[in-house]
Amino acid sequence: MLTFIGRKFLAMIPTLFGVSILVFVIFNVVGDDPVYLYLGKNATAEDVEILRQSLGLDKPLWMQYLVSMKELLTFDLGYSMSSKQKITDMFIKGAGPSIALTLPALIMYSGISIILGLVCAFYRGTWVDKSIAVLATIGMSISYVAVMIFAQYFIAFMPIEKWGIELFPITGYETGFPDCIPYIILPNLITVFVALGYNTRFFRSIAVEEMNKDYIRTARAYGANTRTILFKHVLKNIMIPIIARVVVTLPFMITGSFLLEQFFVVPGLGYKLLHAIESADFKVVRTFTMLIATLVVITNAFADILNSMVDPRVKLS
Amino acid sequence: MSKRVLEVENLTTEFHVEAGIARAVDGISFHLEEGETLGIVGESGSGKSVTSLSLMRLVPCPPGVILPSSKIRINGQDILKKSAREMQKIRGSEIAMIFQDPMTALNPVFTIGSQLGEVLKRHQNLDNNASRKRGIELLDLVGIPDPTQRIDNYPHQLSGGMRQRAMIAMALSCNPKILIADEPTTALDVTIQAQILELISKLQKEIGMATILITHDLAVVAEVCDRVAVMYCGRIVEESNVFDLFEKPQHPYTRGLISSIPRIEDAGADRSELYAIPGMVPDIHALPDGCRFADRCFQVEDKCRTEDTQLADTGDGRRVSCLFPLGQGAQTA
Repeated sequence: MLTFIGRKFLAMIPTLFGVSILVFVIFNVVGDDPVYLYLGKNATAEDVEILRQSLGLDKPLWMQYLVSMKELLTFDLGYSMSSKQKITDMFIKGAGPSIALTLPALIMYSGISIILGLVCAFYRGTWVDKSIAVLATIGMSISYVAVMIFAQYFIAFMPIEKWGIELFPITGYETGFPDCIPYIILPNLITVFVALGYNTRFFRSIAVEEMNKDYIRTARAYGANTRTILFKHVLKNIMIPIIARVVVTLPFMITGSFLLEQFFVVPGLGYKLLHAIESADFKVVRTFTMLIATLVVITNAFADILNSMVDPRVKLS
Repeated sequence: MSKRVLEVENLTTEFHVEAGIARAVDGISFHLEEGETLGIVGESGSGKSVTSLSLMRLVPCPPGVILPSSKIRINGQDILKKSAREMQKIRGSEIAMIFQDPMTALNPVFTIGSQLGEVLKRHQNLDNNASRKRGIELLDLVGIPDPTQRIDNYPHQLSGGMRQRAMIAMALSCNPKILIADEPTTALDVTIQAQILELISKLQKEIGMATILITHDLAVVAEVCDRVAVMYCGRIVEESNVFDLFEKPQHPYTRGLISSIPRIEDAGADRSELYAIPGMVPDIHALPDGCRFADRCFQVEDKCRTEDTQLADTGDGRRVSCLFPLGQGAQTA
């Protein structure tokens, strides 16, 4: 087991190295020259040279790459061009609100949709299955933005406007637990609503496939009841797609939901990234890209390890 | 006469599908006596597997329906009147089943021990330690070497034959009175087949459970069965003890089946072609009015095409469903 984990983590190193080169090439070689983005087209040659030197862009490419790697590995990324904050602080401060806005929702909608999917698969073709399927299709057909606008207007804004009751704050955020709770409930509920239909259908389809397997018939033939069949036999067999699906979304939980943060004015990572893109803050955007890539690689290795724990056949391959 | 552990009367199982109603099993009746082995033989699609699933009430519903006029009595109790919960108590403890493909019939992500243990805990109220101990005994009983180690193996770590042995251990775990073996050797190598059949008949004699062996392989039937029911198009066309069936088949279909067995004596110099029953099994949605075998029968007469057949006694406990059963003496296979 330990060697398996070790192997998985060693395998990450070349991947991350490749990713870092790719990101560097995209931003420093083929991308626009950031100096002109900052100074505009009327900059003097002298200004350009000074900024180029201060950003270290006058050095050869391989040296620039090494400097950027050193910055990443020591978590010392300097200052943002637009907000003048320390980039490391920006990321640390932004991660909290982003996670608070999305992680509870992920846990809730995954749990609920797995249970609904299993129930649908068990009662396949009956009215239970059909009505859940209709509701799920309706849920997944409504646009994310529409749900956000509706929820913000009818659940947060209207009670204050009409009756003077503040159910939820309309926008904003306060750092720290439990101060953040009132601000995160509504965004989380919106995410649950939007993701529930889609995920229920996904988990239903993989559970239906599993329900047709011979070992389910065996379990029935030896007297297993509904609960044992669904939550023991089927659930453990569909853990691999479940892990794959849930773990793959984890990096994007940490980087936050751009739209939600924008709508509810939450200073999470997504919000900050949008502003960095607007102000052409190339170093912040580059760091962001690297962060997401790294998280994807790490969570995938993590998913492989979890898979080997639930399915004994994984280790062999 | 010994006790009847299973009585099936007028069992009819239908599938309500888009193409119409498919009657996979059409009003069959048979019984099973204590300790005996009944073979159910037939081609693919003759309804033998649906029969076995009906006996366990495991026919997927929807689309499958067992008609209410059917009766399945296990030790005198009609199981078609049982609730789902009562059925769960019966399955595995009174009547157990082993399946065709041991590769897929066991859950791949649980150890053999935990799957055996689940059944033991459910029906025998054993705790973890006791069920593990019993599990090891059972694995030993079915001839799995090194059972204390094997019990912690996952199904993919065992060979096909070993898996089928583990499956048999599971079937025996609660001393059922009836064992249904649905093509237990079809997915196995020939050498392993013989071992598994030997194991089943040996254990059956030791434990004294009645067995229904479902197969399309007449050689297997000749080997282990006491009585045989031949199924065709959802009906039993002939029922007989195993010796008479092979000696003097009374239904033309049975005779055709027996003639289809390759014989070593025929494999001589001329290598004559292997006999096959002409024609095809009729479509289940468009069954003929008369005898269902009429189109393939070598002695078909006009009456056969209009008049439906009934399973009728022909003496010596034999039954045949044919207007012109093959006589004793003049016609032999």
